[in-house]
Amino acid sequence: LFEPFDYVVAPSGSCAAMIKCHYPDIFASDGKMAKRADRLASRTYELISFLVDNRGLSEVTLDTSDQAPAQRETVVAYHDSCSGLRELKIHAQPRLLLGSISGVELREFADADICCGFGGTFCVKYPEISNRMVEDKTAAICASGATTLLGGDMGCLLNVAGKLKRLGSSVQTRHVAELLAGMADGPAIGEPATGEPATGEKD
Amino acid sequence: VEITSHKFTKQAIAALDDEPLQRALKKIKQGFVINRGDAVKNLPEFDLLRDEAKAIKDHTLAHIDLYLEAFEKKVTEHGGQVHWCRDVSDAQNKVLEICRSVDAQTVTKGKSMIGEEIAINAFLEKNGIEPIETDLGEYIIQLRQEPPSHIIAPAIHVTKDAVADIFLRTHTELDPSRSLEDPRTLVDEARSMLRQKYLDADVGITGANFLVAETGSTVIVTNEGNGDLTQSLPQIHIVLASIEKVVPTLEDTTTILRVLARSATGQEFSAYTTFSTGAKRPSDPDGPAQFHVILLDNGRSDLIGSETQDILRCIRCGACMNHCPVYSAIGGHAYGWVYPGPMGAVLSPSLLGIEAAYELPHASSFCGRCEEVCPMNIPLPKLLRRQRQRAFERRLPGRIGRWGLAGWAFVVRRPKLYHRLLAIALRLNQTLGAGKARFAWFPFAAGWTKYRDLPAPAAKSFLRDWGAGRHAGGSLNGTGRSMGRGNE
Repeated sequence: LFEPFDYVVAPSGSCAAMIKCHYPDIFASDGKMAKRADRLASRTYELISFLVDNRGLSEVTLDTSDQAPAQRETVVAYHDSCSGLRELKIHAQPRLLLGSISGVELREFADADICCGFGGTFCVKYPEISNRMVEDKTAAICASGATTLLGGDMGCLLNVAGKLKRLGSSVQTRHVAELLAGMADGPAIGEPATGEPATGEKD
Repeated sequence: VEITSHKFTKQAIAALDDEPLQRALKKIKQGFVINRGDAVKNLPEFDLLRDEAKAIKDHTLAHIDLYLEAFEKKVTEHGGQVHWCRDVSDAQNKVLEICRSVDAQTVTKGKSMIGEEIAINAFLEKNGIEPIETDLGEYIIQLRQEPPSHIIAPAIHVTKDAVADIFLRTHTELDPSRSLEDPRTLVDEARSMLRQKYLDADVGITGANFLVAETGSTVIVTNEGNGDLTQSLPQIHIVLASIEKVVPTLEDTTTILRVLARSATGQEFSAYTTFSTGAKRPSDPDGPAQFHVILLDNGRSDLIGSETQDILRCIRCGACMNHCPVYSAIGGHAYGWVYPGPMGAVLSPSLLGIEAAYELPHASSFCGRCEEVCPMNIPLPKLLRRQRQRAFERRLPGRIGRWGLAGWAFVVRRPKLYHRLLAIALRLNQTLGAGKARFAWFPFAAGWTKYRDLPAPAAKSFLRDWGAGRHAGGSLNGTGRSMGRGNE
């Protein structure tokens, strides 16, 4: 599927890390596949890392003139997803881009680099432990005063958004690309397309 | 120690609701994580030392037979004896035999994980010999009659109040109305209770952090000095050590020591680092008349050359568990045996058999913090994955999980089928989900929805959009709005 393309870009660190770090291992014993896996791995990037490390992007300018003033000023927090952070060394890149957007305040929160408790099948195999981890994560996010949580991994975002919504929190959860692309006026994860009151009703 | 690793899930859930335990676990961050971070920051060559430490152990493991024989030769030269023990019962019996040779009544004991592994206390008690733990943490849990919950801080799960409580209940010869509010009083009381026991003991047992082949020395690191009294006052010193503790030289020992304390407690060096070489010589003022090293294998030699050999580099610093979000949530007892946390989840299934402990490697989100902080560069997530694979091959995880994975693998290997099923699922979501943004309940997802809502998927898959060319014109000029929304 990906062989005709120059680069493969994934919006989730865990997906990119699977291809980049683990495919070569998995296919190592199969000569032909091993070569293909290596080639694929070297061309695969997580989205933000691709923008910064490969394309040399260092700042993002957003045209926010059509947005309400309240939307222009946002306090965002960034959650470091495990695969992105530890396997792909993504830490400075999203902070660089987010810090360059005027009107966006990036607020570091406690233990941003600790796992949110998703962990693939872990979250349903050990829901109680996973819940404790996402409880700690959401408590730290809420304590930071940020109104939007950003991340670079759909698994984590699904988990954190699901917990924030269950708690009835008004903190929005978005992929970091949504903000960078000026799409942060669309519905956040777990929110309906038409927009809803900040605290939201429970389904 | 009773092995309860097969009851992991139940024990973990109970631990999450254990208030005193949860309060105690909060201390790990301040006590260990922050201190370690500072210590590492203050040593610019930490990563280089780490590489060197790893290389030392890899080399030693590749030639472990030679180094162990060299170690034995040196111990013998210095008037000691090495006892090669294949398994737990070999080691227990050898210790008992040595104790009986001097008709020992009491045995003082420094902290030793091998002591826990071979459950030496229970074994000695059963045979009429009283073991007395002298490490403060071990002393506390011995009084409480429970196993350690951490490899370097065995009583990390016990709050100060609980310590006062057990002292009041067990030190019955002291004034029952005394105040034990101040931690200092607790330490002083334990010290005064132990002092005479050191002098009375016939045998002293310690563990070993290193066995030095070059000199035949055994090395312990402690912060309380209890190990020194334990090993130098009685007439016999028994060292309990597993085979992978051997290192070639004193120089190698000091290299690894430089990463050990920093990783464990954030200290540059532990308060006491004690080298013991052989029995008391005629010119020595003190020391044991006999020096015995129990060299335990207990399944480790099977790991050499196996896919999990890397775990034998472990120097038992505890950094992996201190930084593990799962360990931090449930503590050590839930793991059900001697070694908790990530290193335990790799080692226990190897030593006990995967059948007895297959849950442990599954209870990880593979966040990778353990590997990040491991001073011996042990790829813990990779080893956990290998253990999961071993469990899968033996059909150990529940049927639902295995069939689920098999079904998933079947579908994702057939892209056409995957896309067709995805389209059906999205349509079902549109009709049955009635455009909801999230679900508080979802079929077969109770594990998720018990604690969180499940955000609904987008109406159309990315690939369908991509195929329709909507995103094809997106350019990467860094001007925000044009990214991804180019053709609006």
